[in-house]
This record gives sequence, C-alpha cells and structure tokens, in this order.
Amino acid sequence: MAEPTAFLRAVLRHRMPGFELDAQIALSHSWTWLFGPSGAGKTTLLRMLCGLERPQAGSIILGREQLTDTLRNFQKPTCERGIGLVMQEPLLFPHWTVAQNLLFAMEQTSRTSGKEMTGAFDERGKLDVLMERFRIGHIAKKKPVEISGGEKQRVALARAVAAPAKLLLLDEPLTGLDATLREELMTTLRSLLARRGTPVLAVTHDVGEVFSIPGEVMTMEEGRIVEQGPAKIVLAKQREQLLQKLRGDEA
Amino acid sequence: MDTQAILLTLRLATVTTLALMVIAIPLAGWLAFSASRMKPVVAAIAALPLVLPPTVLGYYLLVALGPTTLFGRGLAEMLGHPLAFSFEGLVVGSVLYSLPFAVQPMVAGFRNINPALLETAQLLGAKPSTIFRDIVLPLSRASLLTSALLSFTHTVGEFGVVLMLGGNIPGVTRTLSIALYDQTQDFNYAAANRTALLLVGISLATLMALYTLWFGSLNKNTSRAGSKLQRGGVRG
Repeated sequence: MAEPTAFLRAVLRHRMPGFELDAQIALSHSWTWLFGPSGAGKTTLLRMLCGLERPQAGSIILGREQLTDTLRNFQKPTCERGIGLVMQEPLLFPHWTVAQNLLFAMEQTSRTSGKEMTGAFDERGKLDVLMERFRIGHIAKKKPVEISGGEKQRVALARAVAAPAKLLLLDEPLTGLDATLREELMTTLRSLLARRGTPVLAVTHDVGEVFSIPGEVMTMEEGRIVEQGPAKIVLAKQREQLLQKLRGDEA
Repeated sequence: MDTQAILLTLRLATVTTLALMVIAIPLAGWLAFSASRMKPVVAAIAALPLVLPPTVLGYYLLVALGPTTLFGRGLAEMLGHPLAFSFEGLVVGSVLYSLPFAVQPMVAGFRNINPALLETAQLLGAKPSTIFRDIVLPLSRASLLTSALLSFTHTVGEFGVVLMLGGNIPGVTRTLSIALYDQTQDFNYAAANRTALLLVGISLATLMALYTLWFGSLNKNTSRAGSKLQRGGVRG
C-alpha cells in the first residue's frame, strides 16, 4: 500500500531546563494516537501545534498553510489556525450558561471563516442538534458551577466541535471519567469527526484505548518521537523492548 | 451648607470616574497582557501620581495647560477659555491624579483570570479584542467596580491638584476640600465642621459600598473558578 500523503508536517526543537523536545512528525491518518509516559513532551507538542507555545526552532505546515516558521520568525496566531484542543480539565467560561458557551464557539468561527452569519434560527437549530448529540440539552441553561465534572467535559467536547476545525487535538479529555461515559463520548466524537473529515491527534496512556479506534500510533519518549506506525506493530515493539529490559534486569 | 461645593465635588468625581473608566480599561488591559518591553516604563508613569506630591502634578499641569505653552494656547483657542482655573482643567488634573487608583485594581483583576481560560477562547477562534470584551471584562467586574469606587472617593478627597490648578472659584473649582481649607482659614469652625463631616460621610459611604461588594456576593468572583486548573502541566 502506498504511503498516504501527510496533511501535517512539523519539525520542532525546544530546550528547557531539564527537558528537550526534538520531534519530527508527519500525520496522514484520520486518527493518530500519541502514546507515551508522562513527561515525554506530549502536551508541549500539542501546544506548539495549536500555537499556544512557540518552539525555539522549527516549522509547522498544515495542509498547504505554514503555521510556524522560526527561520522567518513567523507564528500564526492560535485564533487563526483552526486547530481545536480539548484538555483534561474542562475549561468552561464560568459567566455563561452551557448554551452560551457553545454559541460563543459557533460565533467565532462563523466570523473567522468570513462567512455571513447563518442567522439566529439556523444557529439555534445547530445548537440544539449539538446539545442533543452530546446529551446536554437538559443543562443548557445551567452555569458551569451547577453541573458535574462529567457534564462539564461533555460541554467542553461539544464546544470544541461546535464549529468545524482543520485538526482536533485531544489531550486526554476523557481521563477520569467512568468507562461507560468515556466510550459513549468517544463514539459520538468519532462519528461526528468522521462525517466532517476532521483529523484527530489524541494523547493517551492507555494501551486498550489505542486498539479501540483504528489509526496510527506515535510513541514519544523524552521529547522524541521514537516510533510511528500501526498500533499492533508499534506496541508489539514496545512490549518486546520492555520484556527485554525486564530480562536484562533479572540477569 | 455649601450646596454648590457639594454638587461641584460630586460632579467632578462622577465625570472623573467616567473618564477614567474609558482611559484606564485599555491601559490596564495593555499592562496586564502585553509583552512589550515598554511595560515597566508605562506602568511606572501610570503609578507616579501615587508617590508624587499632588502639588507637583498640579504645577506641571498649570504650566502645560496655561498660556505659556503652545499646547495650552491651542487648547484655550479650541475651548474659548484657558483650561487652567476651569472645571475641565480640574477634570484633567483629577483624571491624572486618580489614574493609579483606577488602573491598579483592573490590572490585578485581569491578571487573576485563569490564563488557560483565555487560551481556550483563542483555540475557539476568538480574536484578542473579542476575548477582552466578552471574557476578560465580564470576569473582572468586581475589579472594575473597585476601580470606579476608588477613583470616585479619591477624587472627592483631592486637594493639592485642585488648589494648584483650579484656585477657588465658587461653582467652578471650589470643591469641598477647598471650601474646608477656606473655612478654617476664616476661623469659621462651625462651617468647617460641617464640611469635614460631609467629606467623611461621602468617603465612608463609598468605601462601605466597596467593602460590601468585596465581602458580599462578588467575593465569589467567577473569574477565580478554575484558577487552580493550571495550564495542564507544561509537558505531557
């Protein structure tokens, strides 16, 4: 099978006290898992992709668009990148209701894409569909302080996909939720993104999760991408290395 | 009772507070979020009225706004009268004098907002101006109120700048604090007593309103919700 063409290419170098990032990545699958121990640099990598952090050296190209190019001292602002990121902590705007949180996200993108506002009726309809899909309709008028952690995470996910993105980054947004809810949200998210054709780069610690969604796996260790490929092959290698290490320790 | 002086003082404090809100909000926003190297310089200048004797400020304003400078002459031409010794002149002086009292609480309030929340807004595609208007300002309403009340009280209690810049023209520049000074000079202790009590009353009432807000409902300042949620750890 021919290698699919990459839609995202990035070379990132960044040195901080006690940590060095030196990663080259090329994403070509609709779903890519970023797998690795904590402290490997996964979050830093995601933050650089969406422009919240600037690498000391490197470049990022998404589609045909240059997002970062340190040689030219170019850094496209986060708000213009069209890359979504959902973090582990659901950060809802505390002064707004659930529905207002979602509407804010919808309004921003309709402005940045230069399209005319679709009108209050359409917006309302889209909002209802979105809330139904993530099953948050019953809390639409509640403020974030009045809802549970699981509900907050549903809202945060719904808000991140309230408008189409060019790439969605998931930094373990489902960690800490119970298994049933996790599975349910993942299914909702997957079908929605597949329909839109939005590619995903998702951080995980969980081997089981990697096998739950077909895609590519990228493993990261100490700021470097050490392996990339289909889940079976990459994780089998990992397992082999781990076993070898254990055997070595025993000997 | 010197009704004229009371009304003038309240009018000056109100106009000054409104003007300060317009000037201080963008200035504080810049001081809180800009990465400019000029920030310490601007911050120092904006805080200068805190430490400078009001007479120094009044003196420079008197010179700058007076007929000896091109700026003062141009301004007088435009307004039809010199800015010094007029109500407008007092407003300019009061705005500068109370600037730090408006700016400092705002900067503190803006910086108290969880940065990850502002990042989230950027990720949703919001421009900096939208984020400032729709998220920063509503989440800092307690600080904005504090700024307004402090500016108001501070202007009510102003003396040196008014004396230097406005003199003592009844109905134009004779505020309560100037009236009190006058009354004392005239050994009119009965009048001075009333004026002093009035000033204490106004200031105390405003400050009590301020602290009621602080300890009251706004204490549950929504902007602090989630302040413990740090940036999700710098590294993954």
